Amino acid sequence: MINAMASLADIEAAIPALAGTNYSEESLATEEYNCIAYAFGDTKNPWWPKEKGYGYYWPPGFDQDDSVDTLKSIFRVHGYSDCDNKEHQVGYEKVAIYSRNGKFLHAARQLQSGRWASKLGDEQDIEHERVEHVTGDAYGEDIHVMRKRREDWT
Amino acid sequence: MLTVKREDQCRISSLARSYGRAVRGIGAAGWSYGAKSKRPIDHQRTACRNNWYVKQKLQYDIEERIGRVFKWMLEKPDARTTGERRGLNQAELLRPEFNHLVEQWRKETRFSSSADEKILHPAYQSIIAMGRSAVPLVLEELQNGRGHLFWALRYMTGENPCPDSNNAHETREAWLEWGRRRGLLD
Repeated sequence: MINAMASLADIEAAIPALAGTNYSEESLATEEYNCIAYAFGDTKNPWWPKEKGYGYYWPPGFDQDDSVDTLKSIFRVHGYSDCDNKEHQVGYEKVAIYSRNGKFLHAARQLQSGRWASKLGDEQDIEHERVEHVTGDAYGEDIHVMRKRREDWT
Repeated sequence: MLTVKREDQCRISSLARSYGRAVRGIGAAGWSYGAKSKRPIDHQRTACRNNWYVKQKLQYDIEERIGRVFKWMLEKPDARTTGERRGLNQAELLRPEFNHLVEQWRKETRFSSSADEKILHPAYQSIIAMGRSAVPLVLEELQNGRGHLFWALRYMTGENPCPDSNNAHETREAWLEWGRRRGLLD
């Protein structure tokens, strides 16, 4: 379902760190997937640690909790490893987990161009210049970066 | 001193007469005028009165009434659906409040991906508290393609038609089919 999209003013009110930066809208608003799903490249299901039967996907075999450690363990299975460097590195695809008090609230994935792709809840996907540009009350201040080698990006 | 109005006296007398008839029970001999009465007992009329009394008593007997409802539901295959259609009318009464809650909930959680944040939002909890009468409205939202409402439906209905799926599309279709089967959706 495509919803009425949030205006730029709405986006910047929710995520003030984006104001004045060079970000762009990349899709229409949709509830069919969320930021976690988008970071894993799934645009069919929202991902969240919930039991079966409630419309959320969560990879089988992983804890049903919203801790950063659990999400990191899922990214590890997808080939990512912990990384201290938030900057763009040629040949690596990075993901960022945004959290507060050890609970993840958002995830973003870095594109080959170095820009970051984020799905904003039930709203549209955006591309933002820097990983810090979506931090704040909505998604937390803590950022955990992971990366995986992409031979086709060299 | 307690004074009783004339119309109240009449009502009390009438109730007393009814009570007297009731305590005589189904198997009572009816309105026999008794041995002292010089009027002959009309057995046909007495039997007729007894039948009337039995029918009246059965009409107000709670177990008999419940039995009649079940019999009616068994005899009319669409009785359950018809009964639930009354829920649609109740839903219409709830629609303004429901729309207000849904709008507030979506507005305040639209940028969040957290299922917990959405489910625990006070407006979402208020929707759940509206109960079964609001189920047609939630199903309508689903039919319009809106998400995140399966949790509410689960607790509003006490059912889960798709318990083993973690696929949003499958779960949506299962709930819509559930609603159609019960006549809650077109």
